[in-house]
Amino acid sequence: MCASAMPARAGEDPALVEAERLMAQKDYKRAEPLLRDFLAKNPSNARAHGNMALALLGLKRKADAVAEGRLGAVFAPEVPEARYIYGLALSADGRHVDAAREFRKADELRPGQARILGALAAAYAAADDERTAATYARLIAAAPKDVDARAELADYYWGVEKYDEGNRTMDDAIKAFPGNAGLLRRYGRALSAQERYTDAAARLAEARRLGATDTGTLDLLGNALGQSGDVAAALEAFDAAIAADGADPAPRHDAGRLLVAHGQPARALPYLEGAARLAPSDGEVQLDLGRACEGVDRLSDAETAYRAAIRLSPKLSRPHFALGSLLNRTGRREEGARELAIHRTLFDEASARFSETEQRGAEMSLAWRELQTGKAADALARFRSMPQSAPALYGQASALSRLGRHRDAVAALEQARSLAPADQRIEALLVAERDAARDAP
Amino acid sequence: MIRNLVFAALAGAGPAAAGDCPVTLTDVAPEVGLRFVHDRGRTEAHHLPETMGSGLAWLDYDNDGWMDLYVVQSGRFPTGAAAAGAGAGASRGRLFHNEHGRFVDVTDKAGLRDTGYGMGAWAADYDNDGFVDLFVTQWGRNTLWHNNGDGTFRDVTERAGVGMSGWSTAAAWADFDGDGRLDLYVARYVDDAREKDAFCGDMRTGQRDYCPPMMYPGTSGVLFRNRGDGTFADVTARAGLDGKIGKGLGVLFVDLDGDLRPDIYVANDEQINFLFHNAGEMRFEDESVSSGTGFSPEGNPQGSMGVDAGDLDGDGRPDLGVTNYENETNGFYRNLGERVYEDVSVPSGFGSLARRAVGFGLNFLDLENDGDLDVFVANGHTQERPRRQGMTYAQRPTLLWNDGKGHFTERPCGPAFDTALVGRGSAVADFDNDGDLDIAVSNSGGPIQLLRNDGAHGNWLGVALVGTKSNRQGIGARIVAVTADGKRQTRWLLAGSSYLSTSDPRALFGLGGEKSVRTLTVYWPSGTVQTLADVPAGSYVTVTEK
Repeated sequence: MCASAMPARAGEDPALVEAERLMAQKDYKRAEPLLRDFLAKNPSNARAHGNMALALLGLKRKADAVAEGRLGAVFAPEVPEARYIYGLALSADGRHVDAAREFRKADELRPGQARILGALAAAYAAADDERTAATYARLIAAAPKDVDARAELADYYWGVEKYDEGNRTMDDAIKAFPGNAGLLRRYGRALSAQERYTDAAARLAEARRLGATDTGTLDLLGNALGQSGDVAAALEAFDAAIAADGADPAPRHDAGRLLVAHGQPARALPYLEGAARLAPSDGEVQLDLGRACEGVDRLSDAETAYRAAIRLSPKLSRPHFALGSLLNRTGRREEGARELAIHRTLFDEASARFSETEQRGAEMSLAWRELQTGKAADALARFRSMPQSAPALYGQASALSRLGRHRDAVAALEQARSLAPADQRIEALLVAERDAARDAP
Repeated sequence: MIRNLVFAALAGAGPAAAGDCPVTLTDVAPEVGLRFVHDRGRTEAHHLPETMGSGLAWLDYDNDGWMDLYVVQSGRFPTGAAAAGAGAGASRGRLFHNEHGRFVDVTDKAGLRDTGYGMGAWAADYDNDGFVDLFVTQWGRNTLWHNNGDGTFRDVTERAGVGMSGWSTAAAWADFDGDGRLDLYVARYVDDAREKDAFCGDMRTGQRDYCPPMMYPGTSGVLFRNRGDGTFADVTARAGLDGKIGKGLGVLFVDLDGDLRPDIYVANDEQINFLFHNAGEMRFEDESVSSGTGFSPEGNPQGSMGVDAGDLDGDGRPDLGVTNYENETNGFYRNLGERVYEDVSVPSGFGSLARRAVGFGLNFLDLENDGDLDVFVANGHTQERPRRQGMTYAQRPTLLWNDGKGHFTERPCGPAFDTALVGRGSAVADFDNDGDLDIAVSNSGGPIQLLRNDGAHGNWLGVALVGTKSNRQGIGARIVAVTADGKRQTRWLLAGSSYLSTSDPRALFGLGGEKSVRTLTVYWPSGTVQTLADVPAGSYVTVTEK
């Protein structure tokens, strides 16, 4: 459980004390009936509702937890723990905007408490709220030794594509917590995602030196090294990853794929055969195994592997290409042509989808850029010209808001919410626009 | 050899030391009077064409035996009303006359007044009058310049009917229907009209960069048949090439299967590359997939730009080379015969060393005249601020040395390989007629380079063709030189290759220590086969079709 129960007071009911004892042992199953009995007799006891909410969260009954948390907050609106627990339940239920509201109240009641600030910052981050960074800054000031706070802030920045800010935050965190392998590993993963493979490899190697020798870290390191061109070092890392966990197919597959790409099919084979043994239903592994076999002229084995890849991953286009090309080269041109035609069809479909997504994304970016540069009317027209979707409606609402048309914005957001009920950004803006619409003349 | 190469890659080794270089390449452009800076017309709007040009063409326009050079200019990108016409740029492509190895700008004198937003240039004598003409592709409208034979050119685009619309990029000349006249294939890139509805770049700062090609719909190329009266007919549909939507940046028009009919290969950006087999009767068949030349070995299309064809492995068949985008291998498709190819990009060492560059210009040339084809690649990114760490807009070119069997080792030779520029078109010619091939490189937004080839060369023989039944320049001919040691070399005369460029139309054979060519056989496009015996090394010979 991520939160402690509401504070007990002297002279409390022994049943409640016993329930809290069980909860401290994470025995939510036995705590829940005790709390239920207690609440039957004391229906307005905020502390018991709060504890019940926590127990239900422990039992993964999120909706029930929200209901109990709400009662706790209703009966003790000025108690920060009650607000905090209700916020936790809302967060767990994916209602980050509402959760942020409760955490904010808790923070107002007890300013500067790290636990509350952490929850508030996380809720803001999940709702893509612009107050996220400032809240994390307060948290870091309040709890300078909180490693996770800094890492989460970096995660937030990376998640909204503010890579420089995220990297700076992580650089500062690493300076503040030298020797923290977890931070370095996290940073290495993020740098890989930014295609900064050389830097990623350096961070991951340092993490390894500091003791992060799990297969995941070593596999990440191998991939970063491979991408930055140091194939020999990559192989060493993959071998270490395999030694760390012989049952994980990933490092074997990654090593094999790297060697195939660098023209070493014979060296790739044992890796890929090992990966295929460990992940017999992975079509991608079979495809790469086929390519290695073909590279050493084991054409029959290659054909078998390609056919297995097609069987395991029928929607994957590349095994059809590999098989078709092999059949073509070995004189079975009719069957080869059939496979190549399947590849082409699957590929063209995927390509068209990708292209459409890219085009739509760039058009959306332009509309947002127009909004950022004060051209709200142009942005509105552009968002409206797009096929109806939650992001387009959200964009429309943002433009309408900027134009002072808050009621229209609310209407657009309600429509958007019906299309994407879990989208917290929509929820957050809807709350703000409703307030603005109420205040509007 | 393969094992050694791979070991070098596995050890993380860089290119081999320059000290092993038999020849070196040095940029002598300013020294020989080639003063030209490409103006890409960069704007904050970042129109895609601004980062895609441009090319150049070697041609002997005045038949003095020295290769002149036309360099394509881009200039201000046409927008608004100007976009509908030929363009609004004040910049012009330049023609440099070669005066025994020194160049003089004769653009004005030649009457070349093209101010369109230029992409590439293709030189060929399309009307068989003995003077090489010039086709220039542009964004918006192409231009065909007819060589008047008196040192001047005139714009015959409208009459010829080859102006087209959209964004033409690469082209190539060849006689596809065997009537003795050069026809023209023109590839187009993308429909960039929707660019106004997109933002690509950094949303936070508002700093734009160029959008990726998948953002844009592709377009089709056009096949023009030369009617012989100065006009061309669009026979794209009749030839079965309509509806072939690509994003073409490189074109070869070459007989790949030895049936005397030139086939078409198109390098497309992020789409399947096309191989159109010339089936005769003015029909082409799409063999992009079945030939194995359409995709990478993984079955993915690549960001293909430049192309060349030549016998890289010495088996007498034309292999195909393609330059590709970053983190992709440059493609070496080995011709197995029967219109099937094997992608040997990685095992040959041709492709894998290119992952950290974006390849554009591509030339197969025998640098040291030892009898095999080496490879030059002009590199440069398309993005001003590439996302991938270590990538830069300006990049150094690459030189790959052939061991004679189609296995390659990278070795930069000469100061030209220390300079990073945004490389685009490249074309080879023996500009100083000293019996070795030099390379001209067009750099986007940068100065032209002329990489002079100096050092210890083998003996050589140059061959120029004059067609009588075939087209006048013998474009499309296959020439086979056999030396006393039994070594056989094959060249195909092309009018269009690399990226947006035309190379020297003369064939140059490196002979190593051999003093002569025992037999020199010309397989003319007309079907005529003509053999010369015991041709001494050390000069250019002209072979006239009999």
